[in-house]
Amino acid sequence: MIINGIKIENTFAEAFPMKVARLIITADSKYWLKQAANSITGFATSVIACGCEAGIEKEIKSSKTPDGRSGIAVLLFAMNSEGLAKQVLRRVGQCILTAPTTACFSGIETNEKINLGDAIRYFGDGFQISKKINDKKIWRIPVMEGEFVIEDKTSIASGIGGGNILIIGDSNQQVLKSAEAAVKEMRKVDNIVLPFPGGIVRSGSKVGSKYKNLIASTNDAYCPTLRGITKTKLSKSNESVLEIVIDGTNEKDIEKAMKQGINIICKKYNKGIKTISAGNYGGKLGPYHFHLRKIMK
Amino acid sequence: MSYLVLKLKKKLKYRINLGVLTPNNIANKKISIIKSLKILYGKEKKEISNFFSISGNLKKGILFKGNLNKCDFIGHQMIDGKIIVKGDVGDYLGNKMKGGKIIIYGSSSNYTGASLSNGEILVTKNTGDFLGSSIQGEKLGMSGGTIIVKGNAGNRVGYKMRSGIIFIKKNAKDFIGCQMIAGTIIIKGKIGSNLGLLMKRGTIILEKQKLSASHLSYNGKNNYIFLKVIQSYLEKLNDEFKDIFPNTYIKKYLGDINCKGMGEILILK
Repeated sequence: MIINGIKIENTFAEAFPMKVARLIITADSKYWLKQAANSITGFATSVIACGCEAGIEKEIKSSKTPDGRSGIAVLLFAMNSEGLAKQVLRRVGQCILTAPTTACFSGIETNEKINLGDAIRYFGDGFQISKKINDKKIWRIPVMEGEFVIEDKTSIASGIGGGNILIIGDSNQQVLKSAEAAVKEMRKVDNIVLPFPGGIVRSGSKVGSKYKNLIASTNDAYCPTLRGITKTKLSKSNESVLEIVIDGTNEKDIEKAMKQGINIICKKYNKGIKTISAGNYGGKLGPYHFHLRKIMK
Repeated sequence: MSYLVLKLKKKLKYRINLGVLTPNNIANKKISIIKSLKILYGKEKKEISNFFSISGNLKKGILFKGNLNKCDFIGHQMIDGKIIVKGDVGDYLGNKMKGGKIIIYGSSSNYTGASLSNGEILVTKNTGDFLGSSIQGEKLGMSGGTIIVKGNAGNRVGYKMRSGIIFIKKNAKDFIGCQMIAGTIIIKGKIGSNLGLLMKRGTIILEKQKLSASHLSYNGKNNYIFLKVIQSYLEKLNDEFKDIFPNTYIKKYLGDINCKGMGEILILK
């Protein structure tokens, strides 16, 4: 399949099941909202070393948030419920509780709940106050600035991690420009995040390494500087490969994001781009297979 | 007709205990059986049909018509469904209620919503003493649910209250939140004396008041954003709560300081 001169490889992105929590953060100003959201989703690019993958999903209008202030929804992904609970608690405790004027609420409703305010409330040292209205419970934790308001529990759901596309081209600058445009477009889709810096990964990995202690190492098949000595997947003219990793709450939205990203590259940012591919491990890593050509039909 | 309509036939001389007539108690019962249910009239047990004409079905709930100010325990231990009363009611309305909704198009007497644990009670006129309180001899008052009174309330609103919301649109008398343990009382009108006496925890929200009681300590002004959160939850329950907290930067008093209480009284204006 070729779209506007770009080859869409006959391959698939291989993704795996994760657990996801959606938090709604609110604050008095957009500045502090961004600070808190960036902080809680910081150092959360890959479960390989960060414990979780996280990103900003979208901004939420004040009319749609529990406290009537502007909000941001963030998604946090981990491999299991216990790992996610630990990460959510640490990150909310260190990044949201600490940020001036913020409050934190659950952004999804499922039957599987983890403690949020119910654990962080102990910071209040006995001065914390709970408020319960029907099935909703919030905690008011006194802090030096006033009060930190947080929902008692947050729901977690099944999610998907590791959707991806690879952008292969003949120029570093052009590949980066295309990837940036794709990220901008993909971020318009709800229920997904692109957890890497600016949504883009330059160091895509393969499973395993020649070094025993490493579970992942550089994906040498896509390293242009190793073309002469490895079993490369690049042509002679290819100078750069960038990857966009997508985590989402469902397959449909990951597919939608992949499609929108590839579309914008093929339609508007195709200069110097030769191939769109995807990373997989032969189907051994995860049950979710996003076939590029099927998506782009 | 989708309500089971019970119309009071005559003026009552003695008090009636209507605790048996809840939607969950009479579900799937034929009208003939409902008519023959025994209720306490003074000290005697008599059939319901002696006092009420009964028609319709229970699809939407129970609808009482007439002046029921001598009828007590309406909605007693109700679990779900709906009761509507077009007229006044007696004591213990929604006593130990666990769910469902009661609407009174009139006034209720004492102990309305006593030991309520869930569900909603709406009284369009006034209510008596001990609204949302504990019943005599019990340690805990209302422990959940919502009570809305569009008129005035009597003494000891939320006595020993443990959780839930009480909203009074007009005035309330003395000893509001007395021995309160938790929960929220919102009063839009004037209040009597001894507010929050022996209060341990919980929140009383008042519209515009000057407080000078010795058992309350002034805590200054701050931004209480939780009010907006409560408002958004309450707005979903009832339109009465729309924009009840326009301002969150408000005064706070703590008390009862004589019993190391952490109860709070918030003054909206």
